[in-house]
Amino acid sequence: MDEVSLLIDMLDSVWTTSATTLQSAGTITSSHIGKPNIVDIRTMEANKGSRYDLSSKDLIVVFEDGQTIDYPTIGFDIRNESYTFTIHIRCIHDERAGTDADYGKDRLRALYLICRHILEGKRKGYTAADGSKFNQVFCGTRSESNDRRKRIFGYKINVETKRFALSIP
Amino acid sequence: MFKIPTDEINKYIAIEKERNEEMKAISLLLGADFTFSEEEIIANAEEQFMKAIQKKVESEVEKWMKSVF
Repeated sequence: MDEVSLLIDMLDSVWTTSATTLQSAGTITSSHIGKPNIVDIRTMEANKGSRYDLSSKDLIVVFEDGQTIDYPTIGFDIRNESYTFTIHIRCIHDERAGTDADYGKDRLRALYLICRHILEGKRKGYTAADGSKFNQVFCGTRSESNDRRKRIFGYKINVETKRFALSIP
Repeated sequence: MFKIPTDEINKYIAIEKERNEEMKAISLLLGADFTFSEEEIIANAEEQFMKAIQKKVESEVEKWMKSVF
């Protein structure tokens, strides 16, 4: 699978485990362990959204920002690949909040902590069911991206992934 | 001497606008408005632009250092 799909597959498949671990440790509350909609920005086909839980008002969008390749040997017979992504977390402070004025920011914090837990847990690599893999995963800088008018809270996380020593046919 | 590629900011704004169009499509599917505001589009583009500038400066300084020593 392609790299964006691989990163989404990683977030999607490990989400429940990481959320439960953080909940057990008391880092996040049980109300924030739900899996958000994790989507590839390029997914625009009609009805593609139907496979997501439409009641969830949280969204994680993965953008690929760039890729670099280098050939580290004298013979140029292997290739190293680096990918940079932006994981954009957006959650809406909506009716789920009830009387909790801090619901939106608490939910955002939980979503970030779960994402970071997944990324750090897979820092030494992740292999999908189809054999696609990253050898290293780095969780990078975080910046805020809030929209008070729409009551959306957001974080952007820079992620770098690497693949090493891919043979060139 | 190197030139700072100020024209590139338009490229990043275009990328962010395109992403926002895709966010609109996703918002329709999910039934909630997750689109970026104009301010966010500009801020995101500026962030990408600054990263590109930083990379360019680092690369030019490295070349200069190698030429000096």
